[in-house]
Amino acid sequence: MEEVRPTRAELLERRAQIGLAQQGMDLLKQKRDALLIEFMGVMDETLRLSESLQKNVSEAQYSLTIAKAVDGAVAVRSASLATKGEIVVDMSGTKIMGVAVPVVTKGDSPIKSSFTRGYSVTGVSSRVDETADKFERILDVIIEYADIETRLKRLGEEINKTNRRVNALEQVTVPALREQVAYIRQTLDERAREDLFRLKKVKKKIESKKKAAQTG
Amino acid sequence: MSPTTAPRTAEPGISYTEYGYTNARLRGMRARLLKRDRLEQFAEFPDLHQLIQELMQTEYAPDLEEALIHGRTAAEVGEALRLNLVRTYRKVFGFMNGEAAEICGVILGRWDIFNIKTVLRGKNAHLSNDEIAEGLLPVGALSQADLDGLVRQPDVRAVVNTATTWGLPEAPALREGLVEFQRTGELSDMELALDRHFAERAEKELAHGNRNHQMARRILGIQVDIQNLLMVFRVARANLDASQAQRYFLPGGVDLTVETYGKLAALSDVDEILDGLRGTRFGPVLEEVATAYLESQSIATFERALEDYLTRKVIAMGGTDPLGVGIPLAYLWSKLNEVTNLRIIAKGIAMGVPTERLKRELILV
Repeated sequence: MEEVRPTRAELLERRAQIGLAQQGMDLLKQKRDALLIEFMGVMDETLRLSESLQKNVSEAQYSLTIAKAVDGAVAVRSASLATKGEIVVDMSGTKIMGVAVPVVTKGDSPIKSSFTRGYSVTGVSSRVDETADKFERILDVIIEYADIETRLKRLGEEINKTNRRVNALEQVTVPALREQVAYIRQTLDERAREDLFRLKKVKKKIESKKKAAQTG
Repeated sequence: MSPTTAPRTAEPGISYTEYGYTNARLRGMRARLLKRDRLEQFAEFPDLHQLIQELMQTEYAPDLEEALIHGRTAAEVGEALRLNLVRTYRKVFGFMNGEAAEICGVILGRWDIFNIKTVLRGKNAHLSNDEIAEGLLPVGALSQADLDGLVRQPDVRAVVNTATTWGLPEAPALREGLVEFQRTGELSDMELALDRHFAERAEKELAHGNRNHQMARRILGIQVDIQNLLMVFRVARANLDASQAQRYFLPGGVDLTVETYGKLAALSDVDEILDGLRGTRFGPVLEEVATAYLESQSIATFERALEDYLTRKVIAMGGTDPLGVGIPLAYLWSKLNEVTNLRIIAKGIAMGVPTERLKRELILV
């Protein structure tokens, strides 16, 4: 236990600290609950996007398999060489319950039409073209998913951090302060009892001295 | 340097129009193609290993031995099939009579366009020469050596200049597209010019001549019609207006005139297009897969049905023409179809595609 001066002033200070810690704990609990509500909302959205991403990936892989099988890997490869371009993503930030989260927003949609992919559509089969379309849709979902997943991760980290703080206050700080208060009170009581005993003894001595003087 | 075109000369002693020897050999080769029930049996194999074992008992064995050095996946089987296709086409051109070689050469000119496009795309994407070479399929007039020569050029402009110096028939289209490429950095206009050039040139080369030229012209015409028809569906999907759609019309079709194409391209949805095609040769073909299209919402459903139709048509033409170009054309188509079917089976087995779904992709004739 931390070295404590068993004084009345110290007792008052410790009591004030307990009050403050409990107030902080309540506030942190409220923050944690609010973060949890936000987290659950983001979680639903993340699950929805995750399912959509899985579906898109499996559809795109299937299309790619069929395109490679029917048109040949050579034709798919050739068409893939024609498509160029960049994915524009804007990064900014916002705060949710004081938690800084990045916001990822799409620039231009990565989904192109058959006529803007860089190859002439007259020489590319619709299997290859539809495969390209499905992979572009994956990119589109990935950008949304990156945004929501980072948000979920940050909120999760913050909830953990808040939980650790609440636990530290609830299970370490407040019990330690209570222990200190109990110790100070015990020491002060003991001291009071000693004083009383001493006073009684002094009184007794004075009285016996007085008696001796009267008889003598 | 000039292009060393693929063998397009007749076997010594065979006259230009003598089909007897060519067709007799091709009938023999056709008899060795894998039969329908064998392919169906292959499609039911549980793993790729069993398919490879079976293929090792066929004419694909030497190509498999060469390709499987690098591994035993569907990609290596695909490479073996590619090698076999190139080797077989070269062999066939090696003994064809002059007229058959000339006519088949015109039809296979599509592959030259494909290869030139691949080289241009690779150069524009700054890929290494090896990476570009992996995407080539030298079964047209341009040999592997010619294509290697084009691949060695440093950039798109140099490829166009080399094609011009060599006097390749595609050079005017390349030059036409180069202007737009230099302005936008996009190859799509050059590619469109190449596709249009091929359709025009092939139509012109087959326009005059005997019944063999006419037969090839019909096949080419159906092929172009199919391309235009698929374009109509894509235009509807992309909501392109009719004037933009006209840009993508390829000349040389037999049934689908530019006017019909324009009318179909102005329609807004697939149902209307299907209604508009009633009474044409393609109507029943597309009606048959209309339900499958509704389920998949994929134009590829129509494309595969039309490919099926064309394959059966060309093979049927070969059956009615024992002493003409029908047999060489039917053989080339059958061989390509066999290679495609095997590739679908190999890839399908490797990726765990259900057997019934896999069989639906096959064109079994």
